[in-house]
Amino acid sequence: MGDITLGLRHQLRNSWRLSRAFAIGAIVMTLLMHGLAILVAAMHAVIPTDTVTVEAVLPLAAGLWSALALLPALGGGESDDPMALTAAGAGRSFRFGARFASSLTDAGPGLFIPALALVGAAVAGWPGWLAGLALAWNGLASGQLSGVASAILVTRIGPTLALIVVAAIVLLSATVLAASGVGPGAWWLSATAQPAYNLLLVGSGLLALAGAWALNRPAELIVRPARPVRIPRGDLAAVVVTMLVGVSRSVMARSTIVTAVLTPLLVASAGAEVTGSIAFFVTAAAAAVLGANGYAYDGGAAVWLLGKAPRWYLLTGRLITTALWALLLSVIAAVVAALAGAPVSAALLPQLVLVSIGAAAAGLVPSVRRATPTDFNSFRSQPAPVASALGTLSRSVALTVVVLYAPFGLAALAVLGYLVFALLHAHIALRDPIALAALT
Amino acid sequence: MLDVRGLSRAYGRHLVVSEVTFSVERGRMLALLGPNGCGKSTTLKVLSGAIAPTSGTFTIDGAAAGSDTARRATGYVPDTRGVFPRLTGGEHLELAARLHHTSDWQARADELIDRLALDEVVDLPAAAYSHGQSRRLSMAMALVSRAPLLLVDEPFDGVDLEGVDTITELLAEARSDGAAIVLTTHLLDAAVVADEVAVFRGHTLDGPHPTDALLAEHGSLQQAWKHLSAT
Repeated sequence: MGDITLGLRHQLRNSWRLSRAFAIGAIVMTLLMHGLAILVAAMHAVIPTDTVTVEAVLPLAAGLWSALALLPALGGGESDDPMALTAAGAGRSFRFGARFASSLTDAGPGLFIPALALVGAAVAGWPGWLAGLALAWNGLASGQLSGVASAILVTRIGPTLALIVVAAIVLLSATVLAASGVGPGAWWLSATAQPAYNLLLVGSGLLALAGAWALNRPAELIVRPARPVRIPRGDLAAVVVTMLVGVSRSVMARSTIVTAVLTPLLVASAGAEVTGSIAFFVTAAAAAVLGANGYAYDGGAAVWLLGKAPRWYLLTGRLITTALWALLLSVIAAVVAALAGAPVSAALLPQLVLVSIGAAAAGLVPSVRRATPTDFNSFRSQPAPVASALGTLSRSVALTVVVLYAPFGLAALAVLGYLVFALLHAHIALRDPIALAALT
Repeated sequence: MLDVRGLSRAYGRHLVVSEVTFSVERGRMLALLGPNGCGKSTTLKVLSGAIAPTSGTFTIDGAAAGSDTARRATGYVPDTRGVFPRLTGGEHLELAARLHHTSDWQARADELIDRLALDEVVDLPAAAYSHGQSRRLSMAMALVSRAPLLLVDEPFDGVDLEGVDTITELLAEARSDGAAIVLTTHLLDAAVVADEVAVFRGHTLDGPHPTDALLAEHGSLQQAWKHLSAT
């Protein structure tokens, strides 16, 4: 127990030092949202919300549970260099505590946990508030188990298959959640009327945590042969190909493909109507992951250190790489959405291209100023600071909303205008790229 | 103290360490030598518990590999930086001591900080450390809890001459205090202090051989290494 506490304290301290301003903001937001949930629960009897039934909000609750259960497997949160942990003498209990704290301080829980309490409170008053908290606990605990499972699987079947298997299990659980009488979703439904069902949610969460403690092991570097790629002669072409190879071989980039496939399926399984706009938001979110995590993914830091590529080539190469990857993700998401029943038209393509460029531009400046080391070959170490990732995501989503709702000409002007601004800003920031040099 | 039997480790289909067997008693130091990529660091990673063996077994002070007892009996200096970027040097030592369940560590930490010339940077986050300073900090982490088994992987890499002397002294003192030490290094002058030397040939281990006997037969460890690698 002592080592678990040490792990929790260690990772909370890490997160605090990584992004103090974000932590304060996240705590304030969490408290405000949860305060609202308590207020809604207290007012429920006075202002009945008969128009919204518990069954109607089950897909939303199931979606939030899925996000909590999936994030630690796909990445997210902060984890330490496995060799640093071994050197310090960290064992199973410390790693368990540190990973749990890492999930608690990730971008998701601060938003999803009070949101689940709020959803429950809105439809069922105090019992719903309690059931929301129990469901959040269950999702958080299941996430620890799925994170550990992905780390085990990656050494056996490789990172890509491991991601697919874990994502499929969570998708299946989400489907069960929404459609059957078994599983956390159904228990949550019952708990909003009979609080005794909360015990099932809390108890199964405890079992998942015990499993995560027993199964957790150090993250391991997976070394597999890679097919050689010919680097072209032209400077810019060489930079772009090098960066594309780096991105395509990184586990996190592959996890964005899993996300692109999964998101429309999750939405469909939760009973909500799938739309083509999913492709836009998958693009925005996934490109934000790549953008915020910096040059480490694409080998840009190494290219810069070689000193052969001018700054403009480095920035243009990064922009082309991220935009191409984002476009690929958007096409995958659109095809999956179409297969799940969404009306997807080829006329969306110009807009998808625009969103891809906007998403790539959104991550350009932070990736130069706050580049972060990432792990190419296994589940992660030291991803981008949450604040940096959220900033990139916010800019990316804002540009996406402009593309979706403004006339195309105006949207193109906005995106290209922002692109010029981001390029100039990044070009100045790259004049003294201490952050990139620190990656080596 | 350390008993290794038929240890192998593969990354996928790529066998890196093959059927390695050796033991190290308390108060003895074994140097593992060999070319880059022969499996020295992987052997130490397995013994430290960072990665699991593909086959074979080992015990540390009679405790099974991977057990909490084995982990707490081991001090490990990895071949990478092996530090937490956002923790200060002092916090690293406190963390290592607490994870090894060592209560009386502060005086030892102060001594190590002083001897390894970390006093000027002890309150800075490790992200600000040079490579050599990170190696010194990693060394201090391994020594702060007076672990009875030390696994030391390339401790002189990036360290200045004065630092090499200090680390050599600290390892010698730990051995005198009864620690068993497994050291890997390409600095053969420093490896001379080891009681025994084993050389990787391909991915299998030749030895251990008594250092004195090798020096008497070949004149230097460099010649001994060349001879053992070639045969």
